[in-house]
Amino acid sequence: MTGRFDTLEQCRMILRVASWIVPRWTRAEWLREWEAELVSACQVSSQSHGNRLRRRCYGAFIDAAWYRCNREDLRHTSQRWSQTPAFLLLALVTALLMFALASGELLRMRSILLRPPYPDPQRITTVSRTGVISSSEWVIPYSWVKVWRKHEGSQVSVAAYSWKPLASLISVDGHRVRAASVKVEGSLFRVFGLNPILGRIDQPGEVSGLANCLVLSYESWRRDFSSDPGILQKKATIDGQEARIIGVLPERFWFPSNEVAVWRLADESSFSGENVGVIARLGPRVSERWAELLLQRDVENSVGESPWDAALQVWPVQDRIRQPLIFYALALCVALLLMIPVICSGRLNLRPQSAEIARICRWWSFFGTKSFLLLSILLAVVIELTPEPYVFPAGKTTFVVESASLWAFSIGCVFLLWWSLADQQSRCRVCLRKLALPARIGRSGCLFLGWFGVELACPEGHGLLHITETDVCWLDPAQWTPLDESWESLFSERSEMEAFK
Amino acid sequence: MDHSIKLSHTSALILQTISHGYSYGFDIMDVTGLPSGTVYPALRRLERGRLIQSTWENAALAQERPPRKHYRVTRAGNQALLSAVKRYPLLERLRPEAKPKGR
Repeated sequence: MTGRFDTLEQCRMILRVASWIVPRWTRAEWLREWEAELVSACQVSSQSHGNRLRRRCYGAFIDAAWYRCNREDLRHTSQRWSQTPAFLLLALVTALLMFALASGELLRMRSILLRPPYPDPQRITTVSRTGVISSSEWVIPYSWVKVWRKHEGSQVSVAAYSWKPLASLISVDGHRVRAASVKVEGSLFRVFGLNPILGRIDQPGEVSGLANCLVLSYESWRRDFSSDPGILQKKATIDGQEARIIGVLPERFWFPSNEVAVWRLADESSFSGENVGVIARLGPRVSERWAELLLQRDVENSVGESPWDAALQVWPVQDRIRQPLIFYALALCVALLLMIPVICSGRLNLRPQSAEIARICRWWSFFGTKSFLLLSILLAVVIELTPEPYVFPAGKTTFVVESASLWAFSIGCVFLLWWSLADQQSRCRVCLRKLALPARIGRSGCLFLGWFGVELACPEGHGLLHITETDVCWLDPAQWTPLDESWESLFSERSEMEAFK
Repeated sequence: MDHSIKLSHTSALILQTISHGYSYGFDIMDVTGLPSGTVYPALRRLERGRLIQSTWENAALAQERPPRKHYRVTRAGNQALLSAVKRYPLLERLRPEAKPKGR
């Protein structure tokens, strides 16, 4: 008798522990059913069945867990959760984070927004021709660079580079690496005011002896050459030509884009006859306008170019890199302006049900946060995936005409803002959940006898939204009908389940 | 519930056991040999699918013990069982003996 009593108590204890898993709304009934079976089993079975009973009671844990994670409930819960505003915001934040991770923590975006990694960024400028139609004409004939170098003084110092990066194959001691390279003059790093962390790049009077020398980016040195400090003494080839590595630049330096891992130093002869990009360092107290006049005057006097052909633009690199952001902001403003009439017309009926300030703030802050996240994702995608180099090879006008990324951003802005508005329209005016249970109202082709539209209901039973499908101007806009307590019973079962879970 | 619902073999076996009069959870375990962790979740699913219905025993009938919950097969459950027997012909052979009345 004592043994049986012990078994009963042990089993009761197991059941009580298992009952904690069961949702509160059904816990008492669940425990009652199991205890009744247990007592009944104890009355008819002998002491030898103690283990069997205990095993059965352990199975109660699986039964209890069923209430928490059965397929139907999980599907129902996930379906309901996906209708909440928190779900959408979380999904957008996750998408942004995933994209940030996939793109190397928004490398390009950081390069554009953060301070450039060289001293006096406001004094480092690009020099390009103005009054050109296409981006291929912005570049400068190398003969002009030679003229400027001849007259180089304390006011402006220049360096040329071939702006288009090439995909090169670099081989060091049999170790092959594919990397983007760009041809530059040895004086480029002096113009930037950079000192390498390894080796030496440019000493005055040594420029001509630097042909076929390679300079590595810090990231490439670490990633591709395992931070080998002895790399400077090793033999290398680049695209089949012998070369030697003479330096490693400081961390985070990039030019003209982040993809470039190797700078191939070239002498004057390898640039002759080419059109090149030009970087200039302005001396103290030399304005951009003054530098333009100086350089223009040199070209007119020495080469004999007409003032029209020699028209130049000196533009700080930092501003040039960030210049697309101004156009993106303008594109966003245009998209917002396009949306204002849609919002103000009231056709979408974008008003929360309650006139309480807190409710109105919640309604519009959700719209604002959602739109902000959508536009942030768009901006990140456009900047990170843009095929153009950062130092865009064109003037302001040509950027607007030729930049695919700007057009993509503009169209994307309009599309995403429209989607955000449409999403807001199809949300409950009280709880912001996505409206569900669409029902078609009226018959098509019977516009004069009845409305042809769709009615959506709030899953919590707060109201109904009627949207006319045929967009005819004399029909009323979307209508929100609040539901009173008399409708509660229709939605109560779901709400109750949800509340208890 | 749609009578063409496809039951798993275990669910069909439990439904058949209930239709033969074994209406308590522990009795179903005894007859089918299935563990409690299988029988009870299956009972919950069947009940949610409205193939079985549960009711509490009359307290007056339950002497010296708490009233038990028993299950009975609904009309939809019977139809589902018929389809299941066609689908699982061996289920007929596993048919438990009908529970003697009054037990």
